Amino acid sequence: MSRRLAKILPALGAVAILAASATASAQSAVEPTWRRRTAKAAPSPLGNFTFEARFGGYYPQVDEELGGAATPFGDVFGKGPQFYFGLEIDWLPIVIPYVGKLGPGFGWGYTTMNGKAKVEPVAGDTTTTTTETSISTGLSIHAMHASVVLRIDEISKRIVVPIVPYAKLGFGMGLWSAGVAGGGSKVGTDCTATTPKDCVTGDGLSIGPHVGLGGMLGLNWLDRRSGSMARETTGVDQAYIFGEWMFDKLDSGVGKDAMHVGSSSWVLGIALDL
Amino acid sequence: MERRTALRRRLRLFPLLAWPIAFAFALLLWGQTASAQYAIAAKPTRTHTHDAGAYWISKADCKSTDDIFSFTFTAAPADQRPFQVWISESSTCTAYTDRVGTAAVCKRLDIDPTTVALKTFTLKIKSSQIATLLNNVDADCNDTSGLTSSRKVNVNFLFMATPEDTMPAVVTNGGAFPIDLQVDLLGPSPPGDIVVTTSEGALGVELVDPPASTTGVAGFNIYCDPPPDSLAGAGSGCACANIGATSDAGVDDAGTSADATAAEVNPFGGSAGATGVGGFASPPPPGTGGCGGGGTAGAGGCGGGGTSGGGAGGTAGTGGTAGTAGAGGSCVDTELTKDSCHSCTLEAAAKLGADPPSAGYLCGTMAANGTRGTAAVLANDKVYAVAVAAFDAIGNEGPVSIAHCETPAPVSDFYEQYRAAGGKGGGGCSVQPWMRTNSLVAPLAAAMASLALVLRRRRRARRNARGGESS
Repeated sequence: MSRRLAKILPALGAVAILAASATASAQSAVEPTWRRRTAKAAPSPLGNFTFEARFGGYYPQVDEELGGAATPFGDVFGKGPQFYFGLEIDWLPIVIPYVGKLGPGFGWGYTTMNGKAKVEPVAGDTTTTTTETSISTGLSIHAMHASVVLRIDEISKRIVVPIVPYAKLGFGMGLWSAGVAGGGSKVGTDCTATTPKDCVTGDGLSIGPHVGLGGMLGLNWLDRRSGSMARETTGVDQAYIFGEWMFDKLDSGVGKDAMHVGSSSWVLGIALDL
Repeated sequence: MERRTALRRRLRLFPLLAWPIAFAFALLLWGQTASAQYAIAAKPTRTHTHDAGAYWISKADCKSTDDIFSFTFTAAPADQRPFQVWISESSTCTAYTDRVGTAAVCKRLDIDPTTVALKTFTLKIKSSQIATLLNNVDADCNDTSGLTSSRKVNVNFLFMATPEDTMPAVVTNGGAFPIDLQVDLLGPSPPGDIVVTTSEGALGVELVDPPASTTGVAGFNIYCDPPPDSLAGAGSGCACANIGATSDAGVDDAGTSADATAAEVNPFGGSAGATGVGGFASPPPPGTGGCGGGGTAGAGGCGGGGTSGGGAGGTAGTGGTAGTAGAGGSCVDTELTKDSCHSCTLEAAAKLGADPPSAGYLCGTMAANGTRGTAAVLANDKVYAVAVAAFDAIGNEGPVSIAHCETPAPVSDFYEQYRAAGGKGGGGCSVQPWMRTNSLVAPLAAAMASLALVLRRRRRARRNARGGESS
């Protein structure tokens, strides 16, 4: 009997504590102060902003440009994903009834990768290309986009769990630069000259379409009291976690060929409705 | 009456007590007088200095002739007994048995007796005099004691009539003397191994098993063989051709030199080379002395050049005198390859207590806490043997590590490989310098500042709106 109690009582206690905290939370949520009850949520004169911080893997499609004939990117940096970090801000002033909100968004992301330079291939020698050196070589990409953002938040108003699907379509561009430890890369016959005529620097701009499809999960429903406090104190209406499939087809240049620095990848992040 | 009797008794006892008291007083006075004869005026000065220890003696100090300790003494009045300097690692040398006998732990340092005749004088002692008096330190400053730590040394200034003098006076001067004098002739151990990687005009060096920081390592020197500033052929081998060319061969073209026996290449050395054969007196130019064959050891001696032909007719010169046999070497450099990496210079420096390679072989340095370094400036497509030695705070350099051979080569970075493979991107002018950096601090700071600004404006707008409603 006592053994049974020893097992049941702690469980009952835990349930009781959880129930009490939930009740307290609910009471505080439904019984705000007289001032909060009378005050209505004031719409921002700036409209609805969403700030996103995101991270994930980035797979630069550099080797795709070469059609499989060679894989310089994979040889130096490997085939795996490169860490990507990004920020985005969306402004959604247009409300579409029964659908959601629409507006422009701008995002900036960054990824950098490093590997070891190889011994320069010697004509007729197939072994030197794989010999690593002690020199570090790298590629940095600033992936940016300006897109039209559609957030379908009508669904979240009709179901218990606030899920907000969204889509982004726009114009992407990637500023990239390749280099070694001593500076930027250059290829040509007279790169050391004062005014080189045959020298190509290892940097450029690649442009192309940007597509993003994802879903956001609102976090305020997990703890409404904290959500309302955050709203009052910081101005953050809603916090989300989100996952997004991001596709940047950055394979075109402005008047010239471009390195394919786009990526098709999944990112995760946190979004704040302001 | 009783008082008189007591007084008489005391007077009778006085001679019995007075003599011992007087004797003791005399002894005390003598001792004080004696110790006051000499005093060190101040801390000694020294020509070499080390931040780690002002009076520490390194191997370089010991081998130099200009590292001199100067002790200035004052003597008033001058003591007649000879002034002596005794060295010990464990004793102040005042005890007779510490100086004389089988259990002696002190050694007397030879000084110029004339210098101590003056009332105030400066005694100059070379650091080599001190260091080489220690046990297991030879005249070439090699310490074979096997001790890994420095050796504290007491320099004791005594004056006494003979070494058997059992009561020598000791010269001290409070904080000025004795000094913290230590002898450290050994450098730290080298890293357990190194990894050498190719680079363009350089080689990367990584320490695999660096010595612990507690072993007093102040940094690492990287050595390359052949020396980095030498773009001549690797290894020395037999340099007979060069020797012959610099010999006094006549002004005319050299004649046929005698064939020197080809040296059998053996990296571990062997016997001396054969005696060179005199050059032929081949008409019309003078002959050049032949070179002794390298044998299995060092290069053979080279014959002297023939004298030039006399007169306009161009008489044949006399054959050069046969060269002296070359000295037997301990090692012969061979052609360096990655798999057969024998550098006589580095192998000699890898022995415990050996001198480091000369400064010409130095091709890089590394900090004490670093594990990666660069050997530069080297020629591409040429094999170099690379080794690393650790040095301590007073400049003692330990033996070099195992040598590894590698070849600097032109390097192809990612972008060069991309272009070589047919990639066409690049040449853009759109990347701002701040975007080329790997630092995310600036863009993140800007983003966070923007967010904070938006939040602040939004909060203020809400507050204003609420205030308007409630009023």
